[in-house]
Amino acid sequence: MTHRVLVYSDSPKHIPELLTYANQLSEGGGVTMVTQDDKLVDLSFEYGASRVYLTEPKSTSPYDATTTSAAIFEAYNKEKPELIILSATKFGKETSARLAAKLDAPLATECRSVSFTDGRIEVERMVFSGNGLSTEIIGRTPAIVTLQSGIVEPRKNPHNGETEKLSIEVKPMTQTLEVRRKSETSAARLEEAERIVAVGRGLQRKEDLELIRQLAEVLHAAIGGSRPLAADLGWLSDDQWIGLSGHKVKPKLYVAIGISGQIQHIAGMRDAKVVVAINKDPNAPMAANSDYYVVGDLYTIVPELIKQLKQRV
Amino acid sequence: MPNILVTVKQVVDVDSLKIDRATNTITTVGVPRKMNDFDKNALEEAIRIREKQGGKVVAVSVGQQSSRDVLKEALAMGADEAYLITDQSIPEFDSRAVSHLISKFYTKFGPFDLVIMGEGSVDHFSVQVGPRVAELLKLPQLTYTRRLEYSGDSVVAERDLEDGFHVVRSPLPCVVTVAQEINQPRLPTLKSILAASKKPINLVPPSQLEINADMLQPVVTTKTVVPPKTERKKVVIDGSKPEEAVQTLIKHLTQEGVI
Ligand SMILES: Cc1cc2nc3c(=O)[nH]c(=O)nc-3n(C[C@H](O)[C@H](O)[C@H](O)COP(=O)(O)OP(=O)(O)OC[C@H]3O[C@@H](n4cnc5c(N)ncnc54)[C@H](O)[C@@H]3O)c2cc1C
Repeated sequence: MTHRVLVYSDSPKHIPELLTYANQLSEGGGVTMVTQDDKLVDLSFEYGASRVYLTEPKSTSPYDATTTSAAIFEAYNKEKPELIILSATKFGKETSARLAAKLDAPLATECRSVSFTDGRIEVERMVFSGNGLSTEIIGRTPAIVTLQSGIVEPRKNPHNGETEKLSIEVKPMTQTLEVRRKSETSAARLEEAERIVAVGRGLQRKEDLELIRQLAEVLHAAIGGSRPLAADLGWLSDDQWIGLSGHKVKPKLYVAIGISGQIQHIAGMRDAKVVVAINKDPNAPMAANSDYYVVGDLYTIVPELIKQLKQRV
Repeated sequence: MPNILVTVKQVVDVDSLKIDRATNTITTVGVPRKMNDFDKNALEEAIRIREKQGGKVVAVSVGQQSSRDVLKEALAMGADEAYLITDQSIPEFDSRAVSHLISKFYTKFGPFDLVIMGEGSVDHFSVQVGPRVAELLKLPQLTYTRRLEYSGDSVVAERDLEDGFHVVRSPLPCVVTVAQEINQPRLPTLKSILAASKKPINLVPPSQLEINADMLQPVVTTKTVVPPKTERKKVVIDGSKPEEAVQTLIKHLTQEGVI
């Protein structure tokens, strides 16, 4: 069975994955792309879009869910796809929900997989703050899903499709006064990092972060933390925490230092390949979520680790 | 003086879930329930605005009769009125149905100046009710808000998005969804709990709202929920001799090819 799929994205980082996944699902039914950025048209064709709708005027207010969902809605009306896919970024999620209400359609957010099974759409997603993997059935079409990143290896699949202009009359309902960009050290770096050193309440003083920095440096790792350290104590920049309400990361190596491993934290690092923890409590929940669990005081283990890693290189 | 609508949801305590060993699925039967964490932040923010500006905070919940408990808690925190949209014949409403019910409630019991919700709920975390309600009511939406300033005819929100913090002004009415950083929710006092117990919880059957049967028809249903597989090696390294412990660790990490 072939299926018609519509994809929206304005992120060069997500387009290759989204289109690769959409093409697998469509089984030749055709994948249409909506974007607001003319610079992304070529990339879209490169990864298998058969048609691209480019909105006009180019969105003057990025991150406006009202205008963006209106644009996707227009494209929907032209294409009548069975499935609409967005990426599960915060903006993707708020836009997908606004669009879902416009279409009075089902929506499943942050899916880890999507399939057409027995004429229905089945998705898998995490629920209960990371305690459960849920399989959900979407009962009608059109359906909307937002996809987690990292669920497919992007594959080039060049098409010679057509670009169509889509004029959007809808105006933003809100006014952006200021955007303070997040520091390079945090947001993007964490989600793409191959190695992460994460620190929690086990750290006694803010100054002791220096120790963590040194370890991160020898490991070429990005620094993240538990929520209390970033959001409550403010020792890390306030978007630098990992977990349910923070970043979802999947590095090759995750080193959790003085982190107890509450389920909300685990929800953000479950997909790490190798997990090391340093904790003085042999029974912290982190133990069950680690490959290597060093029971000890971080103030003796971390300096020793830095020393021996330095000797290696 | 603003009339503020706050939505509250009763959720299962995700730390007390049980696994049915026979089927290896997660069961919520008999698991304690509580108010969704983010909704406490929403209530707190609404109450703070009322404390400064006057007006009224109306708490509404969609769910089973047991959701009275979270509405009692909302009243004890300081909400002025509480409403429960409930229908015994419908055990579970999906996000689409809840959004229809809340927007119809807004229309019938309004006008409201502001709707404040949690950014998500800790059970299904589908983060869709806020924007859905905003669209159904054709209102602006300010999601992932970590700071909010109310000024009579507009609000300014600081929103936490992927690339940065966006400071956005919106006319009223609008729908705001809040993140946990926005405030520290107050704990009800004994006195406020007593006072709340005297206030009514108003029941609203969906039939009292302009709802058609299709709006409540579930469109996304859960087939199974299983414990996520985390196959960790769980090798414990005794750190009482740091030098040896670290040697062992580095040996393992070298074998894994991650350093
Ligand atoms: C709705 C909701 C969402 C949440 N979202 C997130 C989220 O996204 N991310 C997140 O991280 N949390 C989140 N939390 C909070 C979470 O529940 C935990 O409270 C938090 O993760 C605990 O942080 P921690 O491990 O740093 O601190 P603690 O739990 O206090 O753990 C500190 C650990 O350090 C160890 N320790 C102390 N001293 C030393 C030492 N000298 N050497 C070695 N080890 C030591 C202790 O044994 C302990 O295990 C959320 C909570 C809720 C309710």
